Amino acid sequence: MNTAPAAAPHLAAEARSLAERIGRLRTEAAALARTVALGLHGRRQKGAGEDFWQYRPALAGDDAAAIDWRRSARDDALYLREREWQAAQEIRLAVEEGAAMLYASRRELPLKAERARVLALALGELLIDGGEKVGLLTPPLPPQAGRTAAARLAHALLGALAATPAEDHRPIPLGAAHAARDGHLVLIADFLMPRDAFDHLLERLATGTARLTLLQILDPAEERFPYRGRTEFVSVSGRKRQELAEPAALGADYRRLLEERRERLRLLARRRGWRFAVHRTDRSATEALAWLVRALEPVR
Amino acid sequence: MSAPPFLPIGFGHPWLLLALLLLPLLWWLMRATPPSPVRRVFPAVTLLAELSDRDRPAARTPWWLLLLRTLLATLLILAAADPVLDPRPAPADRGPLLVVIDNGWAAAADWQKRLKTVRRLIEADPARPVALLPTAAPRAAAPVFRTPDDLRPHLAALLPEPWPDAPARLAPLIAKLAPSLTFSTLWLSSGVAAEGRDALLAALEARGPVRVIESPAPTLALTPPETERNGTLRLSLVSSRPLPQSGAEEPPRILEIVGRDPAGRTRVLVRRPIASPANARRIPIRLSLPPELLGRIDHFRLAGLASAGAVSLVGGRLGKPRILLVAPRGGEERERLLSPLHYLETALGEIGPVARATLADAAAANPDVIVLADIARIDPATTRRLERWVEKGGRLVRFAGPRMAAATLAPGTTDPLLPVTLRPGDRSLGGVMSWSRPRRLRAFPDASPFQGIPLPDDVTIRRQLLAAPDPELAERTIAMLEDGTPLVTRKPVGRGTVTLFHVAATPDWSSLPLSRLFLDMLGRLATPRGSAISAPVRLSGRMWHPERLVDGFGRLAPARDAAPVPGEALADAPAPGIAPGLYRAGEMRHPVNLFGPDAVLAPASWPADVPVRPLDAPLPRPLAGPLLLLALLLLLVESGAMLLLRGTLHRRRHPPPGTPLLVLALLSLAPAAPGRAQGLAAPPGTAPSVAGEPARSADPLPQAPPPPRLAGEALARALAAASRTTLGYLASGEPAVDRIAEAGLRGLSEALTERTAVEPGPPMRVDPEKDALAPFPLLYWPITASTPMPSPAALARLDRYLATGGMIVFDTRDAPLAAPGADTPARTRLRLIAGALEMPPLAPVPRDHVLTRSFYLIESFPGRFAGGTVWIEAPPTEAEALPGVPFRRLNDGVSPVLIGSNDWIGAWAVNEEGWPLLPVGSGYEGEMQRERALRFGINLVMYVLTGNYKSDQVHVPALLERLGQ
Repeated sequence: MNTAPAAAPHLAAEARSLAERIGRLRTEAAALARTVALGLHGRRQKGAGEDFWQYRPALAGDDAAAIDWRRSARDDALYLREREWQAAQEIRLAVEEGAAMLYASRRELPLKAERARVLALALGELLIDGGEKVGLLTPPLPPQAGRTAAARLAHALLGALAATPAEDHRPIPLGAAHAARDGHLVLIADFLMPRDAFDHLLERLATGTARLTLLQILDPAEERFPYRGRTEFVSVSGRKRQELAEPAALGADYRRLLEERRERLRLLARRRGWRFAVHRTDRSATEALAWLVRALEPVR
Repeated sequence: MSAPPFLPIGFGHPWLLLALLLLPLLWWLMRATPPSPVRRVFPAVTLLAELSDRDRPAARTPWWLLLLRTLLATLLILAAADPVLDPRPAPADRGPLLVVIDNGWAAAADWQKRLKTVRRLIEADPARPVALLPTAAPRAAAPVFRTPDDLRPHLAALLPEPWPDAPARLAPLIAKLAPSLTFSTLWLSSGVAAEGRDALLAALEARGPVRVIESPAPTLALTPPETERNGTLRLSLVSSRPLPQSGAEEPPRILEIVGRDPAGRTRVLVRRPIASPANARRIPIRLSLPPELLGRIDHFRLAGLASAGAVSLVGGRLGKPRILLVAPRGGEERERLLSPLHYLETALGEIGPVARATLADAAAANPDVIVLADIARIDPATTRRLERWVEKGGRLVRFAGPRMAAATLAPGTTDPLLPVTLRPGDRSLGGVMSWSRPRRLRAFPDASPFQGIPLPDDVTIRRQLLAAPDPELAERTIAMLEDGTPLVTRKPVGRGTVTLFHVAATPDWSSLPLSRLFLDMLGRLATPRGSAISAPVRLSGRMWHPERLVDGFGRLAPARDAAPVPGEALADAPAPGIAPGLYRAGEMRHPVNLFGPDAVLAPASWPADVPVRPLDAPLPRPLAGPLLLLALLLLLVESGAMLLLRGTLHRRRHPPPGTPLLVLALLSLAPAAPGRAQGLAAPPGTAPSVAGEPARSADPLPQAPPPPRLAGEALARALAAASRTTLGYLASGEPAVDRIAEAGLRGLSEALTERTAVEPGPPMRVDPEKDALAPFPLLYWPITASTPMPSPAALARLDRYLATGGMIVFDTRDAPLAAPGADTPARTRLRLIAGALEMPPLAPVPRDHVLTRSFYLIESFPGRFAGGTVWIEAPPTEAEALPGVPFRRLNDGVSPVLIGSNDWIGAWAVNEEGWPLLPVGSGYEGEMQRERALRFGINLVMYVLTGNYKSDQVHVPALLERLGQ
């Protein structure tokens, strides 16, 4: 029985274009990760781990048990076997979902959602390369390490792009991950949700124990609010609208509100020793990724 | 058509005006529907919701928009009703129309207006047969009736002629037309009486009604000039009607005298306003002009009047001057080249026929010019004869010589045939016994007849006669030596002149006779006698060739292919076919003018039953077109206002859909205002340039221009930069690189603030064209392949900045791309730009340069890249290492430039949060490199700010040691 609706060719075309887009974004993320890989402080140093790292000549005071007798037997000197430092962190990435992220004020700018996911994916690949365990909050993906983890991460992150959410802002499911003691959470969002949702989110964040890295991603138009003349503003989902007779007169107020939110985030981050930064989609992604990588570095 | 009596406007379809009653309804309708807002997607609507309380969207259309639209509707309705301004009942006669046009010289002044009137008349009815009858056509021809369309080219080809109207010839032609033919006549009269006008009018009235259109303005003309007994010129301005008195609203007319200037170019020599008394119809003008000007006059004309009547020609120079040469007596035979007359004869021979005579006979021969070479004594009888000859216009030119130098006059007497009193003896310059050197000539004074002759360098004067001091000496001197002593003097005597060369006419005294200058000077002096106003010549019996002719608009042009005219015909000229102008027969030249000296311009007079209308009377003019245009303009304004209200105009990148239409509409209006674009062009470069000495300048350049003043924004920027230490960068031509430069300098500034006593302000982008450079101790200039070349003015300012203690750091940011022997694009560009600046000799930074220890002790200068060579001003070659001192004394000053490719800004660059923007190297090593880059930056700024201070510190131990002893 043929139940395929008439829209099937259309769906197929959409799927193809989505596949192309996802492919493009993956390539972008990989390229992005490469630009920063040079600057990334790898974990390639001795430490508590499983894998062999190097032999070094034994010195006075070294524990005799640490001497690798097999290696020492091949030479006159005594050698110690050192292992690679493998303190895997569990890092969860969260990218805000919701229609509001599917926005770019100009054609040549990427959608906020795209930029956020490219950043998340590039970061994830770098971290996985560095031996960390990386997971996702939405869609839920437990922290994993290893080669397949990167592919799974890409699949989950970019696959979510296919669906257009009906609501402008979805609550971020912080869940138990947020409460994990040694967890590290990277939250990429525009933080433009309604006021009560924002208050709620901040409250939830403040009560958590995981280390947080917050990146606010904004379109330049959202930052500057460059509109003039009578305008009806409609949210991306079309659910909310607001008509203003003279938006230019309210630009300063708008920017003040935005700055207020940022200040609250900044304050929270400073108090808890977390990191907060703002990224605009017309700036280079490298810059944001470099910042993320630094922000995730263990404090030395 | 109906024509209300109070306003000269009539409507073709008056009933359409009833639609105006609908306007209130329209008003109400439009009021109810306000313009819709623009809709935009914007995710931060949630934030806007918190703002919206203060903002109420407009629910109603603004009143001015309503007014605009109502006006638009009114205009459309009015235009549809076909309004006509100044409606005039069409002429009752519908038959053929004959247009008689006076196209003689008197009609030229407002010819375009006349043509326009005729065109409008014949186009009023495209079916009506029309004929043209010009009264001054060279050849009289019977009128031919055609359709207005066929007539148009004939009308376009019709031009005013430079002779008077001749209607007399036309009356018989009209009489000869078919007896049954009747037509009405419109006569565009020139307003000046013409012979035979009554006869033509009678012939025309026999065929139908005659109407006349005549300009009420007076017609002006110039009579030819005459020479009066005392040498002044007299001519008159005549008018067909009484002229109003000249005053504030009636500016005086200007008489222009056109001729050749001393350099031989034809131009206006004299402009003289002619004031008019009240109600004058004849204004006499008297001119006394200097004689050499008289000889150069070509014609007189009234400025701003394009008519043959406003031009009055003079005969011009006839032939060549006759020159008589008188040699000193003595008679001893000399060699030819030593003869005092040889050079004179050779030079004058080029100017005109030269004859020799004795002194006693010279005046009797009555030549134009008499040249006396070194004749000192003239007996009283001859003197009187010569004086009389000069007074009648003769030109006496005398040359000094040994005889004249030896002659002494009895004290208290003067020679009337010398322009100045001479001192006895002569002055030698540059001889064996003299201290002085031969003198050159000074440039000719403005009033001199020699003015404009180029002075060669090689003319030197060794001997001269000196003039006794005299109040008139200065004004009589027409050429002088560089020390101000006279070389040539001249005085007017009656209508003639007496000229004296204070040197001999032989090369004994000067090199003047060997020079081209001699010939030019004599050419200026030896001009034909009398003036350009020639005596009457016999015309008949010769064929006269037109040389230059006046056209109907009073323009004088060379006659090409014009047939010669027999003298008998020329006597009655001008007449149809014979234009005024200059005619020539052999050596004779004869000016033909429109009038005799006593001509009178009579106004045309018409019988009382002929209706006369002024030329400027308005014609019926349909108004629908202008109204529709106005409506279109209002529509454009309205669309613009709508866009404004909807906020669409503010979108920058994507023009609203209406824009192409708008642009098209504006373009279609463009021809209405030609030249506007030029008016909009930027005024010539008056960029406020800014300079001044950089902060630690030593001495100002000796030839430095005064520092230009700063104003407005440039001043504010300069103040901001000067109020704190501020690092500046110059535009690289690529916005991305500029951002990095800004971020890099910010990073360096932060590091300086953290670690040193230098606390710079935020870095600034510096425009060398506009900004003051002086407040910046350091300018960073990242060079890319697309870095624009600064303008010459900017380069000069940069040079000045470098010369007065500034420093520019050039950075091509491409160290890894460098290959030996091959330039990267950025380096090619750097080479080009640096080549335009004044650069010192460069060398790689020596290991002991003060840069390596001005704050940190560093060994290398890495940025994002390491290993690129860093160039700096080469140390002086004589610098040598002093024994016991670890460093050579180098660079007493600070190098004005530092050139490298290590991309230091990339390593310093931080974002607003203070985090590095770009990765450096890899891993921990990379971070160390970033740190070294920062240290280099700090050293660099310290070096720029403190100069060789650290170098001097080296000597401190030695100094202390000496103090202790």
